[in-house]
Amino acid sequence: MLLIDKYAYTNKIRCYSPQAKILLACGTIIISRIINNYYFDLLIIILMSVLIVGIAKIPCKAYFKMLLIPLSFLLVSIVAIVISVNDVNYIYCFKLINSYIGITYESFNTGAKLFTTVLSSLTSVYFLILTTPIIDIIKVLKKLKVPSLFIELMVLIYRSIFIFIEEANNIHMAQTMKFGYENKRNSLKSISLLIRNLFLRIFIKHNEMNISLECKLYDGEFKLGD
Amino acid sequence: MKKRLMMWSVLLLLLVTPQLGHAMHIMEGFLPLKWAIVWAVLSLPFLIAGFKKLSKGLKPEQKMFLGLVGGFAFVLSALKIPSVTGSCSHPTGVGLGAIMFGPTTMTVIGTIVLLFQSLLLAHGGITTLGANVFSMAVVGPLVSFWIYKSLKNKNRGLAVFLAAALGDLATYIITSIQLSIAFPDAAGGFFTSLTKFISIFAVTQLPLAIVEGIITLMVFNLIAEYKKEGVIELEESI
Repeated sequence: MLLIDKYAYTNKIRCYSPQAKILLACGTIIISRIINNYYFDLLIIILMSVLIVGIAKIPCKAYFKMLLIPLSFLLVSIVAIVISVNDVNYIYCFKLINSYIGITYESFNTGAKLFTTVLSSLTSVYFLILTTPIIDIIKVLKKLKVPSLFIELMVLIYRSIFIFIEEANNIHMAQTMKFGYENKRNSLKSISLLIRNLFLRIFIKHNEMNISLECKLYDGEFKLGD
Repeated sequence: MKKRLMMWSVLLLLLVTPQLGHAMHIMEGFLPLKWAIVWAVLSLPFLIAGFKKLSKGLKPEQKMFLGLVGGFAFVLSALKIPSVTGSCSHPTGVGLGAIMFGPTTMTVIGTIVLLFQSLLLAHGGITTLGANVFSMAVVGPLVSFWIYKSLKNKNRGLAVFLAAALGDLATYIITSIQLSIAFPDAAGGFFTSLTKFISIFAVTQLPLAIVEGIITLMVFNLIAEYKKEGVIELEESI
């Protein structure tokens, strides 16, 4: 259903210790920040891509498709950083009304550095999320003595995400078959009906979960098996 | 020559913006380490306040209810809604949550939902979680809640619409501020950079805020209808 979640459970290095994977991902992000060097960033990008595609055996095509998702935000933000107004020593500039807009050496450098840094941390995070299931991450958080209320909410939310995704998909399919997304007006109406229905499901599911948990002698605490 | 350049830049913008709907989360590695820490520390007190409020007399059933609300908020953010500009965008659902359950509760749930978004959808990031929490789970709900509270006695429909739309806008402005503090313009400094970010993101965020307002209003009306008929009982205490 969720592509990243699927790969997290089916990759080849799923059974390796989650602590090591988290340490590796966070470590590379922080070290690349401290060293702050183009070549080091490139090294990390290549290393992580090899780990993801070569060792964890995530399909190459899927991995690059996933990398493209955040790239649009990156490009637009970098445009905003690279372009500067009324500066001196431009590489290239043009005049608009009565101010100069263009690219300077400094802004170009900042933009290029940012691009490699973001890509290197992005590949590190992808390594973590594509190889480690959420349950393993939650177990590590528990060992780190994160408040139990937070952990319990995480477990509950993780479970309910999939309940709601399935229902949202069913409703969406039914609506599409009845031409609910034919034009703008209909789409707005359909989407609000969908959200309303999902919202009502919260209450129905809440009652059902209450009953089932009471049958299992639930005393207000979820036990995670370690 | 210049005309062609303008044309290309407009084309590029049009190509890139459709995917920007969900992109108001700052991505992994974008903020310098220093600012990532600053925003995390700034949003921590709100999170702790939310926890204090929640853990005081929270019954097991209510815990489950919060879990379901969190799943709901996550699915909302993964839904594609049709937007005015023709592109697809994602509702944040923060406005609805803040109106229904109060701002501090939304901070706790929002934090977990943002964490899941970065782990399951790769929206946002782990090091930038603090900054995203501050804009989406602290300021957005606070603005929505405050607007709804101050206007609900005059015109309830308008209050819901404004709460959702302005909450969305507040999130977008805070994100722009966070980006421009981290990357000030070489010549003009913070404010030039802020205008650049605000004007670039306005292309998608203004229509998005209006759509979010309309949808939240429609959902709110449908829920109110149900509540009047006695089908559901909203738990005011949460």
